[in-house]
Amino acid sequence: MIARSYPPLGGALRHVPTTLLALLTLSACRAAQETPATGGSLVIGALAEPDLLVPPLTVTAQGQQVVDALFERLAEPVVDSTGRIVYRPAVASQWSWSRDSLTIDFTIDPRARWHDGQRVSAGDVAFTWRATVDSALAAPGAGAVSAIDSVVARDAQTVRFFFARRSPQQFDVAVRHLRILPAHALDSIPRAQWRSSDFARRPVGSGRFRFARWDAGSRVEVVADSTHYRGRAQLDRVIWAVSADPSTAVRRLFAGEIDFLENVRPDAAAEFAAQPTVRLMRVPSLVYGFLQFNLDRGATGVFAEQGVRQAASMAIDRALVVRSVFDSLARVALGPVTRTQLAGDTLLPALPFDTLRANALLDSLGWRRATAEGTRQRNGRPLRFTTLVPSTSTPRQRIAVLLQQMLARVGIAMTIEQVEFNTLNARLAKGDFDAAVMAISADPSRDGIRGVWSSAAARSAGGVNFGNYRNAAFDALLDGARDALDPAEGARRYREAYAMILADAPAVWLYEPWGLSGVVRGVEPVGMQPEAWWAGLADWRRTAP
Amino acid sequence: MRAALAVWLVLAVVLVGADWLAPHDPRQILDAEHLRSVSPSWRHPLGTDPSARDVLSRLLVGTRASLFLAIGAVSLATAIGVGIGTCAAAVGGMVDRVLMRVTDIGLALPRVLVLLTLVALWNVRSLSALVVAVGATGWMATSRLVREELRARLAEERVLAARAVGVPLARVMTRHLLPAIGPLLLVTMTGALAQVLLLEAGLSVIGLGVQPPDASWGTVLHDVSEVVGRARWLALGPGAVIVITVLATQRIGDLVHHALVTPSTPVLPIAS
Repeated sequence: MIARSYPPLGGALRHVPTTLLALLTLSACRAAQETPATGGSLVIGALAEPDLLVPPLTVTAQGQQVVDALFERLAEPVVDSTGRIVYRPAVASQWSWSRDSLTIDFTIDPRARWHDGQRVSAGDVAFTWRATVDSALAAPGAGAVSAIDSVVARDAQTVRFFFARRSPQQFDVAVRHLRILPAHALDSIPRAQWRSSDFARRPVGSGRFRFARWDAGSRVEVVADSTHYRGRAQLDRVIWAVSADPSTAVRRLFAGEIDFLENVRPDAAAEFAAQPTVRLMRVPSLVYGFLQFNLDRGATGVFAEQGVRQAASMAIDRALVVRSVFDSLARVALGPVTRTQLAGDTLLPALPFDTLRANALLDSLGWRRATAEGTRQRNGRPLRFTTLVPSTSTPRQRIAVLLQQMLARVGIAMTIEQVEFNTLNARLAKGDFDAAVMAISADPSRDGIRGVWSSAAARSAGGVNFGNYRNAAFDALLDGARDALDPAEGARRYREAYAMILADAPAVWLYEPWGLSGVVRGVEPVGMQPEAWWAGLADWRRTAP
Repeated sequence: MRAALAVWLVLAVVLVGADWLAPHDPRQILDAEHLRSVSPSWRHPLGTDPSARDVLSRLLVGTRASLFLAIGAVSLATAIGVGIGTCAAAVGGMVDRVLMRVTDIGLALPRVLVLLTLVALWNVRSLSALVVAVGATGWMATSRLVREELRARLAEERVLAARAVGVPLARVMTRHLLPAIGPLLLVTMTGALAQVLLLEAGLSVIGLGVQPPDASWGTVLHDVSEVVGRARWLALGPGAVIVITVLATQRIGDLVHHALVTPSTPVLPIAS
């Protein structure tokens, strides 16, 4: 009887799991209220598959994104809210300079581990530098670390970088272009074979994400390293899902198949307003668009003459071009440099929109109009040129149409030629063009201008200065700015260099677009950098499934 | 039939009088800031494109380029196809085999890919050059058709009899057999015309057709394509013109087929 007046023990025990579950759920709910949500997956829309996953060899943006999730630098360069670049410890927990500023000692964080469990050592850092500059590897970024004289592991935890000469870029060179590689996994592979090695498709890194899988042509997946010494990534996994083309990627974003899409085209931006589950993010970018003149076209060219270039610049209402084509999704370009690089210094002396001055200048140069509406001529030769436009870029085609009309008002006849993208690149490289509507993504540093507009970057020297703009005084100003140890002096010289190239007008700098990314609501991107939106990927959060 | 002919009559009028019919200058950017992609109104019956140009005006003036390309390319393709098909059928043997293998290769290659290659290699830009490129990549089906028809007719007893009494092959071909397959060629040409109209639109969409600021039906469609998600009406005008013209052309082809290419088609007598 007594036994029957109480519930049997087994019955009580049956309620224990339920009770525990309820308590755990309550506890989890309370925790969720107190701390940000973690976990979940993020699917990133990629328009191409990564090329390979070895840091010094990866060249595609998609490959770079995956590599940056898997591998670490000694320190992470970050642009702060004032536009300055600051460095946060990563593999190196601290560093110190020698008295002569020609060496830097980095101390490796003793907690740093490779994803296979081995410790990250100073030897790995020295190995990474040796591999990067090895001609057998033929790493595309080898030139970027040429200022480093040598790298030596002093002990298991300390590595020393030697430089031949002092420069303000020393530290940046040491950390920005070297993602540390595991010597124990790669040392046995001949460097000429790294590209085709198994490691290139199944790498072992030390980052906050570890490699999970790569389905060829479809997706790449990384998962959070739950024991990472810098803290577990907020997301459980990140997947790069390949889409065939931008339109398909946008549709997949709207359908909820992907969570984040970079480089949304301005023409697709308007569709986001009607999508309740998706939002469009506007972030600063390093891209600027311009009308490139070919200064080295020979007898048929009209842009060797500075006055013609200046007149063409002054004939173009850049503000109207930007408003008409991009609405609020771009700003008028300041010059061959973006606002991000200038860190707020936006008062460069650009040539004004002034058709009266443009007409007067062309008249003074002997380019005359037979009729009020006609094309100018000099010695029987018309002021006429052809502009190349990539057939894949609708905004640039619309820009070309506007430029055509604006230039016609001052008597310059412009013909538009739409060309397929690869053909455009081939013709630019050969110098087979008069002008081209271009866009370029700049290097984030102020000295990034050197790689695009200096004589060293001229087309004739194999560079991307396709218009072959060469100005020794401009080059000298850039050299002086780069080598100035006083930051204020460096900034002053860069400013002089910018002013010089703006007056020289080897191009008409047209627009500086905002970077546009589509993201589903509930995903919180953080730490986006102008040159790498994925820089803070490990700290992105999902607040909704 | 009447509707189809009416469509071509209208096209003929537009072809001649586009400059007078167009309410605005088709190249003129009317107001780059305030008249971009505006919806249809009395002032702009088909709206304006994203570059603030009147769509109706561009469509009217673009008729000239589109039809010039379509008719020119189809005529060229037909001429080449008839020449090669006739040669293969008349000579036979090794020449026939070689020409037909070349034709097979041509049929196997994707036309747009070939056109892209031609454009890349020879920088085909002018409308005339495009006519040649499109025409030179569209003759294969015609040549095969002509060859098959002529071979069948060459084996007919009346042709053999004519040859036996000394009528030269060239005379048999030019005076009797080729005119006899004329209706069939006409049907083929109407089908090809519709194809080239669509091809022109496709080429323009990938930027290989008429170059801006000039207009064709394809470029007008291309120009409005970027805003079609939020301004669907802009694609209606150029889309409808292309579809109606293609349907009318194909309808005319069908009617020609039924009227002329039937088993009851009278066989022309062969005279020496």
